[in-house]
Amino acid sequence: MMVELSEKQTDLVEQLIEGSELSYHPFKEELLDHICTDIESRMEAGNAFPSAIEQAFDTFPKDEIKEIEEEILSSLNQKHAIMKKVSLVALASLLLCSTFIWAHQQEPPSISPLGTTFEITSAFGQRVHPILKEKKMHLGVDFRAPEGTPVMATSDGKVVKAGETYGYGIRIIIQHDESYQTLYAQLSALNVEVGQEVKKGDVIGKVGSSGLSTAPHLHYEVKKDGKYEDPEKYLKP
Amino acid sequence: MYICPMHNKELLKGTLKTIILKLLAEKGRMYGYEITQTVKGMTEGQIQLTEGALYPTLHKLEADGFVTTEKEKIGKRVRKYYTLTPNGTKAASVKVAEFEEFVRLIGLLLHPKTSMQ
Repeated sequence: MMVELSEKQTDLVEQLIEGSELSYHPFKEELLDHICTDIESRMEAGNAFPSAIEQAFDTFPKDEIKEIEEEILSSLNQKHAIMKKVSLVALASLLLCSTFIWAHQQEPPSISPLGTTFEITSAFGQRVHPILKEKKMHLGVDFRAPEGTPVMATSDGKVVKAGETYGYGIRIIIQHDESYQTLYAQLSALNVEVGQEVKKGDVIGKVGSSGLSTAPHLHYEVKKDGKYEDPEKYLKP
Repeated sequence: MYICPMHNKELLKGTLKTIILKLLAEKGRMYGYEITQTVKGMTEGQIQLTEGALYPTLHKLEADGFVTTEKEKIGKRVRKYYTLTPNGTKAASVKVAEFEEFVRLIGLLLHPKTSMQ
């Protein structure tokens, strides 16, 4: 004999479930059907509604109902928590990346290493080397300046080289970010050391005539992503 | 967990997912109460799933995309049916095969002589 609970009986079951103070509606709904079906099958086996409902809730105490809900929620929340974590990490790295990119875009050299007044005596590009007398690519620009003129960092960065080489003489290389690097050569003195952080406008050395040079001047190079750029493009903000 | 007078809870603990997936693979769509009754019937009343074990597992399977649900109104009540997704069908056959292999290997450990013949 098929039994189906009346609306009134179903309401009673619902009221009893309410006593467990469930908050997760999908489970509440499912539980109502589960217990009603259980009661119906007990009634089909010959029990009257009052004893059937009592038996059903006996095997399913109120506090246990709440525990099941908590277990369901915790298993679902685990998933949500992981998703949350993942999206947080994604957001954080996006933020980091954009700050990084933004920082990069802020970094190109934007002043002349000798300040606002300067005189360029040899431009970037092909030229005959004044000493070697060969056609050579001039990788930077030369500024005429008296010995001892202060040389400034043209952007914030970190000193990666500060020392003497055969051609450049006393020279400094500053890494501004992953993209930009500047070089200051033929100096007479160094004011910085390798590893030092410098700010745009900091005096890093003095003009000289060290290395392959005929007279005091500053040789200045700008590299972007490893390629030589015309420094004249980077003398003004 | 399970109410199973004759069987150790711990033995059955890891197999509930497999059992549910397998039943759904056989029967198509089922609702919670139906699953408990089917398990009880098939095991001569020896294994009775408790709601406390069943529903968290069903909801987890749904969250993991192994089952989908559909609701049907029954008078004032709503019945929630579970059906395997394509992923659930795959998971069912993998899990069943895994478990059968496990049972075979345990057999080798429990009956070394028989299995050596």
